[in-house]
Amino acid sequence: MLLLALAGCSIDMPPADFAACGPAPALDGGVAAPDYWHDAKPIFDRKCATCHVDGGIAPFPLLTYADAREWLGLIRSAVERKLMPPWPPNDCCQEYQHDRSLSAVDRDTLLRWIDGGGPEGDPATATPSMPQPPPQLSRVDVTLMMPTPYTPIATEETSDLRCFVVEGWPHDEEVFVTGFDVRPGNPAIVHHVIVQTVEASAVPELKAREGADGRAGFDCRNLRGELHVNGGVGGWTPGSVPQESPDATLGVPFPAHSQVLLQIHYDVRAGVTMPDQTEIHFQVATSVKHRMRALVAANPLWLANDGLEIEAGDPDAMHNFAYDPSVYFSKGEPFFLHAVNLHVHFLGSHGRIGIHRADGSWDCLLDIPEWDYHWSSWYQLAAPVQFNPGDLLYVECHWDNTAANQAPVNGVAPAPRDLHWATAEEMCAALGLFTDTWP
Amino acid sequence: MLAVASLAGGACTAMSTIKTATTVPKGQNQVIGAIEANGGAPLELPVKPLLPELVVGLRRGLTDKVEVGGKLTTCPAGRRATTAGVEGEVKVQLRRVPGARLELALGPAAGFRWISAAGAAMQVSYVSLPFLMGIDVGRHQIVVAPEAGVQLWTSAGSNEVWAPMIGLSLGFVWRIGQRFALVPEAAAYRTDVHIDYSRGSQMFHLGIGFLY
Repeated sequence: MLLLALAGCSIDMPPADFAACGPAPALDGGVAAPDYWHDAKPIFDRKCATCHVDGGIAPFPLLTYADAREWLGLIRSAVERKLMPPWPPNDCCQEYQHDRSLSAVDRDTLLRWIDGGGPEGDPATATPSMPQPPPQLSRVDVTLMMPTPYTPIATEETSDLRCFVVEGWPHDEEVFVTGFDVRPGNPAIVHHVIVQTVEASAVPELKAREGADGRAGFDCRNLRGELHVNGGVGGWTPGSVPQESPDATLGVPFPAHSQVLLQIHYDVRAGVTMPDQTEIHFQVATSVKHRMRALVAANPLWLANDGLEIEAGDPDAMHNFAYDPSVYFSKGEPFFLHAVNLHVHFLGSHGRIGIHRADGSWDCLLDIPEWDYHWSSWYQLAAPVQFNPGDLLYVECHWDNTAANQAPVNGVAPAPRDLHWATAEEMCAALGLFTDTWP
Repeated sequence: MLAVASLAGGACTAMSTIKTATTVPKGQNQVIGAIEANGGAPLELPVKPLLPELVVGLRRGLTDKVEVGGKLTTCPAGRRATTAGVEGEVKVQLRRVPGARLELALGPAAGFRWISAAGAAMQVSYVSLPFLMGIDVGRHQIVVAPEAGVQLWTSAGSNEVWAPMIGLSLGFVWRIGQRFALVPEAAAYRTDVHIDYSRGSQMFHLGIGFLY
């Protein structure tokens, strides 16, 4: 019995070389003296102009030489520290689709261009390029929007979890969501959006709750057990980009006879009470080659009381967990992981997700050396990763709960306090999207 | 999440089960066995039963008013959920009057349970103190037992979770023959274990055991 008790009292951690980069490849040096038109502009167009446009989410445009010239110092700092383009994953962990990061060559070119004084060069020698538009679905089949704007209020937890029935889903039979894009109406306060499906028969009961407190929607903490809410078909956190599966290869089932229920967490610590009216774009197919399902890895004890305690002042609180998802998710059969997401809140400092193979080896799925909640995207793997029975899905989260790392409330950084698992405090979870078969 | 939540549910172990309000006579042994199902959930959510556990144990009368015993529990469901537990218990007769229908006893118990599910492990240590009230109905006995206890849940990578509990169990000692009895039993507990916005948690226990 003692041996049994001791078994499982520790979790194997990844080796030191889990996401280590090998020797940096030698750069050929590129052109001797990079200039804007020939060398820098194509990089700005490919990697920066998606956001750095007039009216974009970035604070200034980077479309012209004058734009770039004005921000040379800031660009150098951001590029050198790999803060821009925002791409938090460690390059040496895994390959992803839609990688926003700069290649070593591009980075070297930009840094040498700036260090050389940022010369403009000759427009006649310009490398042909066009600014990339913001990512969007190639086709939108269904657009749903919150029926009315909602203005959150600051609760004592400075957090507001609200649900909205969004009727108008046009399909009565089961279909598959192959593309998904959330457009938060007010990105300053939308902390997360979960798009759930709810049986149409339950809609009247849900609608009856709306407006009971004089505001749009209804408070939906602990909703799942009370009503006929099915699984989610998609989610959004800051930094998310539209997800799309070409040729209806992959799709998340949207059940028959169902409507959409939006669960939105509003973060109102800044005291902002502006209205939000979030919109969802769907791409839909009547059949797909592979049905996608979601899985979550988090120690269930973290959810209870002090199970996930992050002590005030701790510069590196750490929690980790590993389990074999095949036991529940695929009935002991191999399955295929297509996308991963690490969910941590504001005080996270770094985290990683991996597979501890049954043979003792490790595969890195996601390694975020410097956590930034505002870029907590889903990462679509460049190639699906096979998961075999006996393999453990591993998640590890770190937090910095010192005074220097507190997220401001109404512009003032609060004193550190003990934090636990809560919508308004902290969490740690690995999320994955997988299929039972591939290709 | 629901999948791994079953691991947490596995922590909802019942405490000091298959109870009677009557101590085993001095020098005699009593064999016990049972099949039990336990479950737990936040107050706002429905409780679902988990895999059943098997129980075997032995009780021995030290004096006419004091017995000691021990139980082993297991749920051998492979990687889906395997549990192994041990419990020690003492029972002290507080009241037993010839001809009277009411018997009273205290049955403190302490136990440990190891739970493994899908390659992850959890341990539960607990102590409990049921106040056993037996109401004789002919040869049979209804057992009503308010109970207080505390469980300590531990798991690698997590902080420990303390779960104080109060509850009430109801059992029926259905005597069949001279020494054999069947004991159906149900219990419900309330704990202050809260998850996110939950106000607390509830746990239940259903079992049917035998005494010999």
